[in-house]
Amino acid sequence: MNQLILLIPFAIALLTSVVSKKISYISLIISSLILGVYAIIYTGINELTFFYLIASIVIIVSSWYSIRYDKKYRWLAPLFASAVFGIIIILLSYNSLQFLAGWELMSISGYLMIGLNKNKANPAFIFSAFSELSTVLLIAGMAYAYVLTGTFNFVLIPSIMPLILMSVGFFIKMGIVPFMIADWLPIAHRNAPSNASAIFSALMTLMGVFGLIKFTLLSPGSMSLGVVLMGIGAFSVFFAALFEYVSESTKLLLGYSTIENNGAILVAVGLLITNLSGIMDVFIIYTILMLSLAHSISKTGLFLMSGSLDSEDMDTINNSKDPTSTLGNILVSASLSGLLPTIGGVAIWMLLETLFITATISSWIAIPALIIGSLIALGEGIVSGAMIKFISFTQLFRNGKAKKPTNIYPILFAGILVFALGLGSVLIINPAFITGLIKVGIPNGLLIQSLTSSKTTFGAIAPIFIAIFISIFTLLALVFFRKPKIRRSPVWNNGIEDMAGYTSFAFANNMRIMMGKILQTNTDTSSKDNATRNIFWDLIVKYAKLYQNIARSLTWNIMNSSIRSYVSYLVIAFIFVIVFVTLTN
Amino acid sequence: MRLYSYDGPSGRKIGEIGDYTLYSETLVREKSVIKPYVTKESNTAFNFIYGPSTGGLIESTLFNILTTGESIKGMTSDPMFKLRELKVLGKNVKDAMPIIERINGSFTASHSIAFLGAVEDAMEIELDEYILMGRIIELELERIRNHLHVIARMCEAAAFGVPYNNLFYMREKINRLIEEYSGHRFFHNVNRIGEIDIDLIGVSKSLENICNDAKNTYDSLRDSKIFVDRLLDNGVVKDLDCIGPVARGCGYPYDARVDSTTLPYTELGFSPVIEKGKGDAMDRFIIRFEEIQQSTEIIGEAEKRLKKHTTRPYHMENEGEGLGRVESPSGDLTYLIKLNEGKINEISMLTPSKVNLPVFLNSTRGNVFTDFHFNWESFGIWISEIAVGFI
Amino acid sequence: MDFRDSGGFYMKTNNWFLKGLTKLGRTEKFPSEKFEAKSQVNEKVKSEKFMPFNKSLHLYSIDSGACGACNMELQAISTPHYDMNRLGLFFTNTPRHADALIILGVHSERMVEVLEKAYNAMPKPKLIISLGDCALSGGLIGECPEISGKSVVNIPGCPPNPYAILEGIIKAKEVSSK
Repeated sequence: MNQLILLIPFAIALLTSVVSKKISYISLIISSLILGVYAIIYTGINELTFFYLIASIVIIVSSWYSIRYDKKYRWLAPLFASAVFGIIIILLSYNSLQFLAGWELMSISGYLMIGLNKNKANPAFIFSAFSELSTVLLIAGMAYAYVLTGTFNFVLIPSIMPLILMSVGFFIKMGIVPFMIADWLPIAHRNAPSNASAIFSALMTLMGVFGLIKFTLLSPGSMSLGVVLMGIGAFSVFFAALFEYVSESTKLLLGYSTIENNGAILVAVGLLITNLSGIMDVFIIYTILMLSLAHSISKTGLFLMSGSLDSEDMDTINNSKDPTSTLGNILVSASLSGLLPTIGGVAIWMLLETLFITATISSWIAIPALIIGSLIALGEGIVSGAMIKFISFTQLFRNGKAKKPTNIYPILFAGILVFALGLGSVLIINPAFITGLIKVGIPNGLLIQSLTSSKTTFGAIAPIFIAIFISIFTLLALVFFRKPKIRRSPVWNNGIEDMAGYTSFAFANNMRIMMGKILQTNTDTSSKDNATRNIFWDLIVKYAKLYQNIARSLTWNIMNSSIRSYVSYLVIAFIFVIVFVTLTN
Repeated sequence: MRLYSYDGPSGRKIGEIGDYTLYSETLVREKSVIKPYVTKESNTAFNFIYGPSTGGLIESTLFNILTTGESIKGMTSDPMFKLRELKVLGKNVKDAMPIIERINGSFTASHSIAFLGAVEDAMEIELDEYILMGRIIELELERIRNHLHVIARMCEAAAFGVPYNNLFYMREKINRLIEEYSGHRFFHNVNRIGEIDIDLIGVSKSLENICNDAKNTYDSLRDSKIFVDRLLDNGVVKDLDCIGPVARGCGYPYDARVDSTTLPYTELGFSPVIEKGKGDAMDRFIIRFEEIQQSTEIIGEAEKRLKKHTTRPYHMENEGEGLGRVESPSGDLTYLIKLNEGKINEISMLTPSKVNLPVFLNSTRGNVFTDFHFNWESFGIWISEIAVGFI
Repeated sequence: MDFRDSGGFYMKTNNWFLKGLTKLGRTEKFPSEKFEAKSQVNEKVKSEKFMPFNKSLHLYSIDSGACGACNMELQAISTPHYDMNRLGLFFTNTPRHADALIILGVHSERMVEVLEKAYNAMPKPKLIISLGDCALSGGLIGECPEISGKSVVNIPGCPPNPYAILEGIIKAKEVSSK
């Protein structure tokens, strides 16, 4: 069966979107259900089919949310549907050309979605520019692969060069440092609608991961490229975690979180490219799948959450408390913090296991693996803090009198899903890694193990048992100590009503002081702001300016209606391509 | 009014009194513009509430500190929690006197002498030297006591037990000295119109010991690096609008003892001590200790000129307007009153605490939390003379 | 040798501990022969409650509208002449740790809430001491402060002498322990 048939329902959704938003979103949900069922049935054939499942879950949740959310924009639903259509084309593509077509459709829809807020043209423009850069790199890589293999179909590529070119293109979509401009900037500028943000952050970056793995599996291994990617990934994890912790805006925090998660995925991809051994590679692929699954669902949930609140500034949120959204939010945040028994916890455990297994290998790669493992562990620790900040200031500390956050059931669904997937991860992961330990009472099929070879176990966890133990000990504590005695007395606040506030800024001050050198904290007491200098932001501004200048000078020098310079440009470009192809052969 | 007139600004600006602004030579009908303390709204800072009721403050007042965690970005205050409305309007001077004495317990002599100065100005009473010298001694005793109190509170902020107890020991001695000579530890019921009910001969001899002890403590405290470190660069005052020891700590020779001629300080060879430093808490600390020495000398000089007091019948006007100014321990204290048939028709007051409070608030910017108490105590501000109204 | 005024020894050392040692023994005996106890015990409150404060009593004071004299005199009982600590009396910085609330000054609108909150914040058993004429009756200035509890001991005086304050607080402690 040609899996491109699965595109038809999505095409219908795209067509109906012009007529009715509601029908479009509902048909998106139905189409995704079909895709999801297909993915579940055929997962055994190819690990990459798993991405279909991830995509279908994200689309279902965000479409469900959009039904109530999308009231303001006329063109959001068609663009949303077309972006989703592009994404599905990428997933289902049989060859590079289909892949590229999907990629372009996704990018252009994204550009238009950012452009929906007409007041600021610049973010959309920069997004588009970087998307195009990404497409150009992909075309270059794929063309090169075509030169080498003679076909556009996905076949084994004998050289590592196309992968290098394409990986930079995928970085741009994944938002890896320094290319987080692509998905991060529109979010930072608050241009994108919340459901679009979820798509940007969860799905577009997922497509980067998908493409990267797809071509990694087709390319030969390379130890040095793998280590470089791991290094970039670890750098992204650590720095994005730091900036996540000190962010004041909910969407900015989540944007950094995306960079951090994609960094973790990139570390795993880097390990995959180093091409260590058969059993390790399979485990790494599952690590990547788990990381992608955890990130996509959790991030969708949190972006939708941020869209449900009445402010993006964590200090001015005025929604009243709501147990449903709090529960969903806590589960999703636990997953993003890498806490067991959620799927995020399983994923991070797997990533650290792969790194520490690599560290035991007697090769020079052991040293970078150890350092990168420590960096990731450190980064995840900081992320937990950032997530506590997010939950506290969006949910727990709220005593606002305004309305409850609306449209919360998709978020609760995402929360329950990450929890359930964590428990059910034993069903998803390749049976080679599932075992049991009868001695301590864990039956077969409930324990996930990491293997150094096909026989030797390195480490193991059982998410279900963790859940059971947490519940048993909670219950035991309740039974033995009863319900904790709580004496509530009014706060003594120097004799007046509580006037003081604790801001999210103050919450992050510890990191500002400890990491003062990296964050370049301004501790000058006489200055007005004790703020962190955002080196990421500085970098982006620098890039944007550089890009603008290059574009302007190009326009001035080439597109100045002078035929001679235009022709000379074409000639130089032609010579360059020929020289490049000749040299690399 | 014999010494002041309603005119354009002349001399140094002191502060707002009723509808007027008092300059050292004239009263100007203008509102004294106190620079509003503007703090920039920012989402990076949050409010920390200190007061009204807390162990660290002697009186009830509220400070709203804008901070980013440690450093103080700005501060506003609400001193009106313990607002008292005093019923003095329409009363005659004799009945109002006990209430005026209770405006500020620590500055009782200053308040009653300034008030009486205004009344006597309105009634056009000439005082003899015994009363003038007696009042000078009262004011200086009060100054010594207050300065000891302020410095002891600064030591308390540093949890510096020995000098703290030593200084309070001295303060208690002064209190007992005052009780011994005047019959009341806070000069209650001592001052009356054209009269003084206190026998002050021998005061300076009793002060000698205390003065020496204070000097020793002063020297030791100046040698203590950890203590000095807490005061240096703490609460630097840049405003010209300050008065009293705060101004003298900034190098401005502002002193009502020089530019108000009702009390003949200049005849005793007085000139104000000034410290040409940065205007930080350390300078105020130095000024206060040096003023203790100076006050002891003034008391000695004044005591020499105490002659036998003869009460004589005064000529008293029943109507009139008067202004009385003294240098209270914290700075210029002024009363402006209007008498009508011997009763108080209008009364307004300029207190050093009210003038110096905004200056204090401005000086805290850029400090850290732990500096707060040193700075606050070094100003010697009493909320009781700010949170007060006349009805 | 009298250390108290021996400036020489005092000047020689920069050690604050030694300096403190030279100041030993400044606390006075209670001048009971000269002193006439004036504090009034509120018998009604005394009979109502059993409040065991046998050993120490922690005090928290609130200025509801005082001129500052009562504040200074209350603070004076911690100074060397009086030394409240030897009698088991301590000041606390929060009503959460206080056994007794000392009220100074007259009634003022905005302090009513503060007084009430402080009294509510105190753990039981708790007692109230009114210090000074203002807190007792309003004195010359105004009216006495409003609070839901009744004061056990009233210490009159404007301001009361530190000895009077000590005597009153000790009486409050004794009353409560019977």
